[in-house]
Amino acid sequence: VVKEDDRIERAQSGDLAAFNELVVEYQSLVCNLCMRMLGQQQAAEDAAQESFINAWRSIRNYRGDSFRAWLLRIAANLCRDELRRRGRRPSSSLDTALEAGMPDPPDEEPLPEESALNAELRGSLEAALAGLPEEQRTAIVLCDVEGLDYAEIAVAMNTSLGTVKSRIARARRRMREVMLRQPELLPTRFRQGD
Amino acid sequence: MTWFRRSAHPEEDLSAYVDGELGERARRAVETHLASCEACSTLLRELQDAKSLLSELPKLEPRRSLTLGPEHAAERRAAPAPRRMSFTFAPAVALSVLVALLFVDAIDSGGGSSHDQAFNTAGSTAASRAAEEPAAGGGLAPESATKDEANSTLGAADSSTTQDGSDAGGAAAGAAELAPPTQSLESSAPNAAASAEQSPAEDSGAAIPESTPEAAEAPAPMPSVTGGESDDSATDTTAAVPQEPPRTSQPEDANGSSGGLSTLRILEIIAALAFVVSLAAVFLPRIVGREER
Repeated sequence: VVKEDDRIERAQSGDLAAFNELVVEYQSLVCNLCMRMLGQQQAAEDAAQESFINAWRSIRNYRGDSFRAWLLRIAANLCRDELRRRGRRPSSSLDTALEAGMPDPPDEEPLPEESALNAELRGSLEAALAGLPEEQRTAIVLCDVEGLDYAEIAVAMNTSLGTVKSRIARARRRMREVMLRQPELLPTRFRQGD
Repeated sequence: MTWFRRSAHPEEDLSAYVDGELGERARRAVETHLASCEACSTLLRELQDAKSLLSELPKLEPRRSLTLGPEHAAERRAAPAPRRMSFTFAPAVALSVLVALLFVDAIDSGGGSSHDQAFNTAGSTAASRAAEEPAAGGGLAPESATKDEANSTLGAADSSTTQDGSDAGGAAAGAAELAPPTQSLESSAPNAAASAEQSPAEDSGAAIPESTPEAAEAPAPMPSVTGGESDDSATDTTAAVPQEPPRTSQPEDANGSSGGLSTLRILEIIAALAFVVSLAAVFLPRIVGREER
Protein backbone atom coordinates (compact mmCIF):
# COMPACT_ATOMS: atom_id res chain seq x y z
CA VAL A 1 0.00 0.00 0.00
CA VAL A 2 2.90 2.28 0.78
CA LYS A 3 4.32 1.44 -2.60
CA GLU A 4 0.99 2.17 -4.26
CA ASP A 5 0.65 5.52 -2.48
CA ASP A 6 4.10 6.39 -3.67
CA ARG A 7 3.26 5.50 -7.26
CA ILE A 8 0.07 7.51 -7.10
CA GLU A 9 1.92 10.50 -5.74
CA ARG A 10 4.52 10.30 -8.48
CA ALA A 11 1.84 9.85 -11.10
CA GLN A 12 0.06 12.90 -9.73
CA SER A 13 3.19 14.93 -10.20
CA GLY A 14 3.37 13.84 -13.84
CA ASP A 15 5.41 10.64 -13.78
CA LEU A 16 3.90 8.51 -16.55
CA ALA A 17 6.12 5.54 -15.78
CA ALA A 18 4.79 5.44 -12.23
CA PHE A 19 1.27 5.58 -13.58
CA ASN A 20 1.98 2.73 -15.96
CA GLU A 21 3.04 0.58 -13.02
CA LEU A 22 -0.44 1.17 -11.64
CA VAL A 23 -1.91 0.26 -15.03
CA VAL A 24 -0.07 -3.04 -15.06
CA GLU A 25 -1.31 -3.79 -11.59
CA TYR A 26 -4.94 -2.99 -12.28
CA GLN A 27 -5.50 -3.65 -15.96
CA SER A 28 -6.99 -7.09 -15.46
CA LEU A 29 -9.31 -5.81 -12.73
CA VAL A 30 -10.55 -2.98 -14.94
CA CYS A 31 -10.77 -5.22 -17.97
CA ASN A 32 -12.87 -7.77 -16.10
CA LEU A 33 -15.40 -5.20 -15.00
CA CYS A 34 -15.67 -3.88 -18.57
CA MET A 35 -15.98 -7.41 -19.86
CA ARG A 36 -18.86 -8.24 -17.54
CA MET A 37 -20.53 -4.94 -18.33
CA LEU A 38 -20.09 -4.89 -22.10
CA GLY A 39 -19.94 -8.56 -22.93
CA GLN A 40 -17.34 -8.42 -25.68
CA GLN A 41 -13.62 -8.63 -25.25
CA GLN A 42 -12.68 -6.04 -27.84
CA ALA A 43 -15.15 -3.50 -26.46
CA ALA A 44 -13.99 -4.33 -22.93
CA GLU A 45 -10.34 -3.74 -23.77
CA ASP A 46 -11.16 -0.48 -25.51
CA ALA A 47 -13.19 0.72 -22.55
CA ALA A 48 -10.44 -0.33 -20.15
CA GLN A 49 -7.87 1.53 -22.21
CA GLU A 50 -10.02 4.63 -22.23
CA SER A 51 -10.52 4.30 -18.48
CA PHE A 52 -6.78 4.45 -17.92
CA ILE A 53 -6.41 7.41 -20.24
CA ASN A 54 -9.15 9.23 -18.34
CA ALA A 55 -7.60 8.21 -15.05
CA TRP A 56 -4.23 9.58 -16.11
CA ARG A 57 -5.78 12.85 -17.20
CA SER A 58 -7.59 13.37 -13.94
CA ILE A 59 -5.32 11.64 -11.48
CA ARG A 60 -4.58 14.92 -9.74
CA ASN A 61 -8.20 14.89 -8.61
CA TYR A 62 -7.78 11.58 -6.83
CA ARG A 63 -8.07 12.06 -3.09
CA GLY A 64 -9.56 8.80 -1.94
CA ASP A 65 -8.59 5.88 0.23
CA SER A 66 -9.08 3.28 -2.45
CA PHE A 67 -7.37 3.81 -5.76
CA ARG A 68 -8.93 0.73 -7.32
CA ALA A 69 -12.41 1.93 -6.35
CA TRP A 70 -11.67 5.29 -7.96
CA LEU A 71 -10.35 3.57 -11.06
CA LEU A 72 -13.31 1.21 -11.30
CA ARG A 73 -15.65 4.12 -10.93
CA ILE A 74 -14.16 5.68 -14.05
CA ALA A 75 -14.49 2.35 -15.84
CA ALA A 76 -18.07 1.76 -14.63
CA ASN A 77 -19.10 5.22 -15.84
CA LEU A 78 -17.54 4.60 -19.22
CA CYS A 79 -19.29 1.27 -19.54
CA ARG A 80 -22.60 2.80 -18.57
CA ASP A 81 -22.15 5.54 -21.16
CA GLU A 82 -21.21 2.97 -23.75
CA LEU A 83 -24.30 0.89 -23.01
CA ARG A 84 -26.51 3.96 -23.25
CA ARG A 85 -24.85 4.96 -26.45
CA ARG A 86 -25.60 1.60 -27.89
CA GLY A 87 -29.21 2.45 -27.16
CA ARG A 88 -29.94 -1.00 -26.03
CA ARG A 89 -29.23 -2.44 -22.68
CA PRO A 90 -27.83 -5.93 -22.68
CA SER A 91 -28.74 -5.72 -19.04
CA SER A 92 -32.41 -5.06 -19.55
CA SER A 93 -33.41 -8.47 -20.75
CA LEU A 94 -31.91 -11.85 -21.05
CA ASP A 95 -32.95 -12.12 -24.67
CA THR A 96 -31.10 -9.06 -25.84
CA ALA A 97 -28.07 -10.16 -23.88
CA LEU A 98 -28.12 -13.49 -25.62
CA GLU A 99 -28.73 -11.82 -28.95
CA ALA A 100 -25.78 -9.54 -28.36
CA GLY A 101 -23.70 -12.68 -28.09
CA MET A 102 -21.77 -13.66 -25.08
CA PRO A 103 -18.02 -13.62 -25.27
CA ASP A 104 -16.04 -16.58 -26.45
CA PRO A 105 -14.18 -18.31 -23.67
CA PRO A 106 -10.70 -16.87 -23.30
CA ASP A 107 -7.95 -18.78 -25.06
CA GLU A 108 -5.72 -18.92 -22.01
CA GLU A 109 -5.46 -22.19 -20.14
CA PRO A 110 -8.07 -22.31 -17.40
CA LEU A 111 -7.03 -21.73 -13.84
CA PRO A 112 -7.24 -24.83 -11.63
CA GLU A 113 -10.49 -23.87 -9.89
CA GLU A 114 -12.17 -23.01 -13.14
CA SER A 115 -12.34 -26.61 -14.14
CA ALA A 116 -15.05 -26.82 -11.50
CA LEU A 117 -17.35 -24.79 -13.72
CA ASN A 118 -18.32 -26.58 -16.87
CA ALA A 119 -18.96 -24.55 -19.95
CA GLU A 120 -22.73 -24.91 -19.73
CA LEU A 121 -22.95 -23.68 -16.16
CA ARG A 122 -20.59 -20.85 -16.91
CA GLY A 123 -22.66 -19.88 -19.91
CA SER A 124 -25.86 -19.77 -17.93
CA LEU A 125 -24.22 -17.78 -15.12
CA GLU A 126 -22.85 -15.28 -17.59
CA ALA A 127 -26.19 -14.99 -19.31
CA ALA A 128 -27.93 -14.46 -15.97
CA LEU A 129 -25.38 -11.84 -15.05
CA ALA A 130 -25.84 -10.12 -18.39
CA GLY A 131 -29.59 -10.17 -17.83
CA LEU A 132 -29.41 -8.22 -14.58
CA PRO A 133 -30.26 -4.53 -14.53
CA GLU A 134 -27.08 -2.57 -15.10
CA GLU A 135 -26.75 -1.24 -11.55
CA GLN A 136 -27.29 -4.62 -9.91
CA ARG A 137 -24.83 -6.18 -12.30
CA THR A 138 -22.18 -3.57 -11.60
CA ALA A 139 -22.64 -4.06 -7.86
CA ILE A 140 -22.44 -7.84 -7.85
CA VAL A 141 -19.56 -7.95 -10.31
CA LEU A 142 -17.59 -5.52 -8.15
CA CYS A 143 -18.41 -7.61 -5.11
CA ASP A 144 -18.18 -11.23 -6.19
CA VAL A 145 -15.98 -11.10 -9.27
CA GLU A 146 -13.69 -8.20 -8.40
CA GLY A 147 -13.65 -8.70 -4.64
CA LEU A 148 -14.33 -5.14 -3.49
CA ASP A 149 -15.93 -4.48 -0.12
CA TYR A 150 -19.16 -2.54 0.22
CA ALA A 151 -17.43 0.73 1.07
CA GLU A 152 -15.33 0.51 -2.08
CA ILE A 153 -18.35 -0.41 -4.17
CA ALA A 154 -20.18 2.60 -2.78
CA VAL A 155 -17.28 4.78 -3.94
CA ALA A 156 -17.09 3.07 -7.33
CA MET A 157 -20.82 3.44 -7.90
CA ASN A 158 -21.13 6.83 -6.27
CA THR A 159 -23.92 5.71 -4.00
CA SER A 160 -24.67 4.80 -0.39
CA LEU A 161 -23.80 1.65 1.51
CA GLY A 162 -27.50 0.85 1.89
CA THR A 163 -28.04 1.01 -1.85
CA VAL A 164 -25.02 -1.20 -2.45
CA LYS A 165 -26.35 -3.71 0.04
CA SER A 166 -29.78 -3.91 -1.54
CA ARG A 167 -28.47 -4.06 -5.11
CA ILE A 168 -26.19 -6.93 -4.24
CA ALA A 169 -28.96 -8.74 -2.36
CA ARG A 170 -31.33 -8.48 -5.34
CA ALA A 171 -28.67 -9.53 -7.83
CA ARG A 172 -27.61 -12.45 -5.69
CA ARG A 173 -31.18 -13.60 -5.30
CA ARG A 174 -31.45 -13.73 -9.07
CA MET A 175 -28.18 -15.62 -9.43
CA ARG A 176 -29.36 -18.07 -6.82
CA GLU A 177 -32.54 -18.73 -8.79
CA VAL A 178 -30.53 -19.45 -11.91
CA MET A 179 -28.30 -21.76 -9.96
CA LEU A 180 -31.24 -23.66 -8.46
CA ARG A 181 -32.85 -24.14 -11.85
CA GLN A 182 -29.92 -26.24 -13.00
CA PRO A 183 -28.80 -28.30 -10.03
CA GLU A 184 -27.42 -30.96 -12.34
CA LEU A 185 -24.81 -28.49 -13.62
CA LEU A 186 -23.47 -27.61 -10.21
CA PRO A 187 -20.16 -29.04 -9.09
CA THR A 188 -20.69 -31.80 -6.58
CA ARG A 189 -19.47 -29.74 -3.66
CA PHE A 190 -22.48 -27.45 -4.17
CA ARG A 191 -24.92 -30.33 -4.08
CA GLN A 192 -24.43 -31.54 -0.54
CA GLY A 193 -27.84 -30.20 0.47
CA ASP A 194 -29.74 -32.33 -2.07
CA MET B 1 -33.14 -6.86 17.18
CA THR B 2 -35.63 -4.45 15.68
CA TRP B 3 -35.03 -5.86 12.19
CA PHE B 4 -36.17 -9.20 13.46
CA ARG B 5 -39.64 -7.92 14.23
CA ARG B 6 -39.86 -6.08 10.94
CA SER B 7 -38.98 -9.01 8.81
CA ALA B 8 -39.05 -12.65 9.76
CA HIS B 9 -36.62 -13.74 7.05
CA PRO B 10 -34.11 -11.02 6.44
CA GLU B 11 -32.84 -11.97 3.02
CA GLU B 12 -31.05 -8.68 2.43
CA ASP B 13 -29.18 -9.04 5.70
CA LEU B 14 -28.37 -12.64 4.82
CA SER B 15 -26.75 -11.46 1.60
CA ALA B 16 -24.69 -8.88 3.49
CA TYR B 17 -23.89 -11.56 6.05
CA VAL B 18 -22.45 -13.71 3.27
CA ASP B 19 -20.19 -10.80 2.39
CA GLY B 20 -19.20 -10.23 6.00
CA GLU B 21 -20.60 -6.73 5.75
CA LEU B 22 -23.01 -6.66 8.69
CA GLY B 23 -22.36 -4.64 11.79
CA GLU B 24 -21.88 -6.45 15.06
CA ARG B 25 -25.50 -6.20 16.23
CA ALA B 26 -27.07 -7.14 12.93
CA ARG B 27 -24.68 -10.03 12.54
CA ARG B 28 -25.64 -11.45 15.91
CA ALA B 29 -29.30 -11.01 15.12
CA VAL B 30 -28.92 -12.93 11.87
CA GLU B 31 -27.05 -15.70 13.61
CA THR B 32 -29.77 -15.96 16.24
CA HIS B 33 -32.37 -16.17 13.52
CA LEU B 34 -30.41 -18.75 11.56
CA ALA B 35 -30.20 -21.00 14.57
CA SER B 36 -33.94 -21.36 14.65
CA CYS B 37 -34.88 -21.07 10.98
CA GLU B 38 -34.22 -23.96 8.68
CA ALA B 39 -35.40 -22.07 5.59
CA CYS B 40 -32.96 -19.23 6.17
CA SER B 41 -30.12 -21.64 6.80
CA THR B 42 -30.77 -23.23 3.43
CA LEU B 43 -31.07 -19.82 1.83
CA LEU B 44 -27.78 -18.76 3.38
CA ARG B 45 -26.03 -21.76 1.94
CA GLU B 46 -27.47 -21.09 -1.47
CA LEU B 47 -26.43 -17.47 -1.37
CA GLN B 48 -22.93 -18.51 -0.39
CA ASP B 49 -22.89 -20.93 -3.31
CA ALA B 50 -24.03 -18.23 -5.69
CA LYS B 51 -21.26 -15.95 -4.50
CA SER B 52 -18.69 -18.66 -4.79
CA LEU B 53 -19.81 -19.62 -8.30
CA LEU B 54 -19.52 -16.03 -9.48
CA SER B 55 -16.06 -15.69 -8.01
CA GLU B 56 -15.03 -18.69 -10.08
CA LEU B 57 -16.00 -17.20 -13.40
CA PRO B 58 -12.92 -17.00 -15.59
CA LYS B 59 -10.99 -13.75 -15.39
CA LEU B 60 -10.22 -11.89 -18.53
CA GLU B 61 -6.62 -10.94 -19.12
CA PRO B 62 -6.29 -8.16 -21.69
CA ARG B 63 -4.64 -9.42 -24.83
CA ARG B 64 -2.52 -6.30 -25.03
CA SER B 65 -0.87 -4.15 -22.45
CA LEU B 66 -2.94 -1.12 -21.56
CA THR B 67 -0.01 1.02 -20.45
CA LEU B 68 -0.02 4.52 -21.86
CA GLY B 69 2.51 5.57 -24.45
CA PRO B 70 4.58 8.75 -24.31
CA GLU B 71 2.01 10.51 -26.50
CA HIS B 72 -0.21 10.71 -23.43
CA ALA B 73 2.46 12.26 -21.23
CA ALA B 74 1.31 15.81 -21.88
CA GLU B 75 -2.39 15.06 -21.60
CA ARG B 76 -3.39 16.35 -18.23
CA ARG B 77 -6.42 18.26 -17.26
CA ALA B 78 -8.02 19.58 -14.13
CA ALA B 79 -11.37 17.91 -14.43
CA PRO B 80 -13.27 16.03 -17.08
CA ALA B 81 -15.66 18.35 -18.86
CA PRO B 82 -19.28 17.38 -19.42
CA ARG B 83 -19.64 16.83 -23.13
CA ARG B 84 -23.25 17.04 -24.10
CA MET B 85 -24.66 19.61 -21.78
CA SER B 86 -24.83 22.39 -24.32
CA PHE B 87 -26.88 20.31 -26.67
CA THR B 88 -29.47 19.01 -24.26
CA PHE B 89 -31.31 22.29 -24.13
CA ALA B 90 -31.21 22.97 -27.87
CA PRO B 91 -34.74 21.69 -28.60
CA ALA B 92 -36.26 23.86 -25.89
CA VAL B 93 -34.31 26.90 -27.06
CA ALA B 94 -35.23 26.31 -30.70
CA LEU B 95 -38.87 25.83 -29.80
CA SER B 96 -39.01 29.04 -27.79
CA VAL B 97 -37.35 30.91 -30.66
CA LEU B 98 -39.95 29.47 -33.02
CA VAL B 99 -42.79 30.50 -30.73
CA ALA B 100 -41.31 33.98 -30.41
CA LEU B 101 -41.01 34.28 -34.17
CA LEU B 102 -44.56 33.10 -34.73
CA PHE B 103 -45.68 35.63 -32.17
CA VAL B 104 -43.86 38.44 -33.96
CA ASP B 105 -45.27 37.16 -37.23
CA ALA B 106 -48.80 37.17 -35.83
CA ILE B 107 -48.43 40.78 -34.71
CA ASP B 108 -46.89 41.75 -38.02
CA SER B 109 -49.52 40.13 -40.19
CA GLY B 110 -52.30 41.76 -38.20
CA GLY B 111 -52.38 44.24 -41.11
CA GLY B 112 -51.04 41.65 -43.50
CA SER B 113 -51.80 42.05 -47.21
CA SER B 114 -52.45 39.54 -49.95
CA HIS B 115 -49.04 40.52 -51.24
CA ASP B 116 -47.48 38.92 -48.20
CA GLN B 117 -49.45 35.76 -48.71
CA ALA B 118 -48.30 35.51 -52.29
CA PHE B 119 -44.74 35.40 -51.19
CA ASN B 120 -45.24 32.68 -48.67
CA THR B 121 -44.78 29.90 -51.16
CA ALA B 122 -41.68 31.44 -52.63
CA GLY B 123 -40.40 32.02 -49.16
CA SER B 124 -40.84 28.44 -48.11
CA THR B 125 -39.21 27.16 -51.27
CA ALA B 126 -36.24 29.27 -50.52
CA ALA B 127 -36.26 28.22 -46.94
CA SER B 128 -36.28 24.56 -47.72
CA ARG B 129 -33.34 25.19 -50.03
CA ALA B 130 -31.63 27.32 -47.50
CA ALA B 131 -32.15 24.61 -44.94
CA GLU B 132 -30.28 22.19 -47.13
CA GLU B 133 -27.37 24.50 -47.67
CA PRO B 134 -26.43 26.03 -44.34
CA ALA B 135 -27.83 23.25 -42.27
CA ALA B 136 -25.38 23.71 -39.43
CA GLY B 137 -26.81 27.12 -38.93
CA GLY B 138 -30.25 25.88 -39.75
CA GLY B 139 -29.93 23.42 -36.96
CA LEU B 140 -28.76 25.74 -34.29
CA ALA B 141 -28.11 29.27 -35.33
CA PRO B 142 -31.44 30.89 -34.44
CA GLU B 143 -30.98 30.31 -30.76
CA SER B 144 -27.88 32.46 -30.77
CA ALA B 145 -29.80 35.16 -32.56
CA THR B 146 -31.92 35.76 -29.51
CA LYS B 147 -30.27 33.87 -26.68
CA ASP B 148 -26.99 35.08 -25.33
CA GLU B 149 -26.30 31.89 -23.53
CA ALA B 150 -26.08 29.98 -26.78
CA ASN B 151 -22.93 28.14 -27.54
CA SER B 152 -20.26 30.24 -29.19
CA THR B 153 -19.36 27.72 -31.89
CA LEU B 154 -22.95 27.61 -32.94
CA GLY B 155 -23.19 31.34 -32.76
CA ALA B 156 -20.39 31.64 -35.27
CA ALA B 157 -22.58 30.03 -37.90
CA ASP B 158 -25.40 32.41 -37.19
CA SER B 159 -24.66 35.51 -39.19
CA SER B 160 -23.56 33.62 -42.26
CA THR B 161 -26.66 31.45 -42.12
CA THR B 162 -29.05 34.32 -41.91
CA GLN B 163 -27.17 35.88 -44.76
CA ASP B 164 -27.38 32.73 -46.82
CA GLY B 165 -30.98 32.30 -45.95
CA SER B 166 -32.04 35.71 -47.12
CA ASP B 167 -29.84 35.55 -50.19
CA ALA B 168 -31.26 32.23 -51.22
CA GLY B 169 -34.70 33.51 -50.38
CA GLY B 170 -34.21 36.49 -52.58
CA ALA B 171 -32.76 34.42 -55.35
CA ALA B 172 -35.58 31.94 -55.28
CA ALA B 173 -38.18 34.65 -55.10
CA GLY B 174 -36.51 36.23 -58.10
CA ALA B 175 -36.57 32.92 -59.88
CA ALA B 176 -40.26 32.58 -59.20
CA GLU B 177 -40.93 35.94 -60.79
CA LEU B 178 -38.57 35.75 -63.72
CA ALA B 179 -39.07 32.17 -64.76
CA PRO B 180 -42.79 31.44 -65.06
CA PRO B 181 -42.36 27.94 -66.59
CA THR B 182 -40.64 26.67 -63.49
CA GLN B 183 -42.97 28.45 -61.16
CA SER B 184 -45.63 25.78 -61.12
CA LEU B 185 -42.98 23.21 -60.49
CA GLU B 186 -41.51 25.28 -57.71
CA SER B 187 -44.76 26.08 -56.02
CA SER B 188 -45.76 22.47 -55.88
CA ALA B 189 -42.38 21.45 -54.61
CA PRO B 190 -42.46 23.38 -51.37
CA ASN B 191 -45.68 21.74 -50.30
CA ALA B 192 -44.17 18.35 -50.68
CA ALA B 193 -40.99 19.51 -49.08
CA ALA B 194 -42.80 21.24 -46.28
CA SER B 195 -44.94 18.25 -45.49
CA ALA B 196 -41.90 16.08 -45.62
CA GLU B 197 -40.26 18.36 -43.14
CA GLN B 198 -43.13 17.98 -40.75
CA SER B 199 -42.95 14.23 -40.81
CA PRO B 200 -39.48 13.61 -39.40
CA ALA B 201 -40.95 14.27 -36.00
CA GLU B 202 -42.89 11.04 -36.26
CA ASP B 203 -40.90 8.84 -38.58
CA SER B 204 -37.50 10.25 -37.78
CA GLY B 205 -36.65 6.93 -36.20
CA ALA B 206 -36.62 5.37 -39.61
CA ALA B 207 -35.47 8.38 -41.57
CA ILE B 208 -32.41 9.27 -39.58
CA PRO B 209 -29.62 6.75 -39.61
CA GLU B 210 -26.42 6.54 -37.62
CA SER B 211 -25.25 9.94 -38.65
CA THR B 212 -27.37 11.78 -36.13
CA PRO B 213 -25.57 10.76 -32.94
CA GLU B 214 -22.44 12.26 -34.40
CA ALA B 215 -24.29 15.48 -34.76
CA ALA B 216 -24.83 15.47 -31.05
CA GLU B 217 -21.11 15.43 -30.52
CA ALA B 218 -20.02 17.72 -33.32
CA PRO B 219 -22.42 20.43 -34.39
CA ALA B 220 -20.17 21.46 -37.28
CA PRO B 221 -20.77 18.53 -39.68
CA MET B 222 -24.53 18.97 -39.46
CA PRO B 223 -25.08 19.99 -43.07
CA SER B 224 -24.79 16.48 -44.39
CA VAL B 225 -26.95 15.21 -41.58
CA THR B 226 -29.77 17.60 -42.22
CA GLY B 227 -29.55 17.03 -45.93
CA GLY B 228 -30.14 13.35 -45.47
CA GLU B 229 -32.47 13.91 -42.61
CA SER B 230 -35.15 16.10 -44.09
CA ASP B 231 -36.41 12.89 -45.55
CA ASP B 232 -35.73 11.20 -48.85
CA SER B 233 -38.90 12.45 -50.41
CA ALA B 234 -37.91 16.01 -49.65
CA THR B 235 -34.54 15.55 -51.23
CA ASP B 236 -36.03 13.86 -54.26
CA THR B 237 -38.61 16.55 -54.77
CA THR B 238 -36.12 19.35 -54.64
CA ALA B 239 -33.75 17.37 -56.79
CA ALA B 240 -36.36 17.48 -59.56
CA VAL B 241 -36.30 21.25 -59.34
CA PRO B 242 -33.26 22.89 -60.96
CA GLN B 243 -30.58 22.59 -58.31
CA GLU B 244 -29.05 26.03 -58.62
CA PRO B 245 -31.45 28.91 -58.39
CA PRO B 246 -30.46 31.60 -60.88
CA ARG B 247 -28.63 33.75 -58.39
CA THR B 248 -27.71 36.26 -61.06
CA SER B 249 -31.29 37.40 -61.37
CA GLN B 250 -31.20 40.55 -59.25
CA PRO B 251 -31.44 39.21 -55.74
CA GLU B 252 -31.45 42.72 -54.23
CA ASP B 253 -34.55 43.65 -56.13
CA ALA B 254 -36.35 40.52 -55.08
CA ASN B 255 -35.20 41.02 -51.55
CA GLY B 256 -36.62 44.47 -51.53
CA SER B 257 -40.04 43.39 -52.75
CA SER B 258 -40.42 40.44 -50.43
CA GLY B 259 -39.28 42.65 -47.54
CA GLY B 260 -38.71 41.62 -43.94
CA LEU B 261 -41.62 39.26 -43.78
CA SER B 262 -40.17 36.49 -45.89
CA THR B 263 -36.99 36.73 -43.89
CA LEU B 264 -39.17 36.20 -40.87
CA ARG B 265 -40.73 33.19 -42.54
CA ILE B 266 -37.33 31.79 -43.31
CA LEU B 267 -36.27 32.27 -39.74
CA GLU B 268 -39.43 30.54 -38.58
CA ILE B 269 -38.80 27.56 -40.78
CA ILE B 270 -35.18 27.44 -39.76
CA ALA B 271 -36.26 27.52 -36.15
CA ALA B 272 -38.76 24.74 -36.79
CA LEU B 273 -36.07 22.69 -38.48
CA ALA B 274 -33.70 23.46 -35.65
CA PHE B 275 -36.29 22.17 -33.23
CA VAL B 276 -36.84 18.93 -35.12
CA VAL B 277 -33.16 18.34 -35.77
CA SER B 278 -32.00 19.11 -32.27
CA LEU B 279 -34.81 17.06 -30.80
CA ALA B 280 -33.76 14.19 -32.99
CA ALA B 281 -30.11 14.68 -32.16
CA VAL B 282 -30.81 14.65 -28.46
CA PHE B 283 -33.30 11.83 -28.28
CA LEU B 284 -32.45 9.55 -31.16
CA PRO B 285 -29.26 8.19 -29.63
CA ARG B 286 -31.43 6.97 -26.78
CA ILE B 287 -34.04 5.43 -29.03
CA VAL B 288 -32.24 4.06 -32.04
CA GLY B 289 -29.54 1.51 -31.50
CA ARG B 290 -26.13 2.71 -32.48
CA GLU B 291 -23.62 0.29 -33.85
CA GLU B 292 -20.15 1.16 -32.81
CA ARG B 293 -17.20 0.59 -35.03
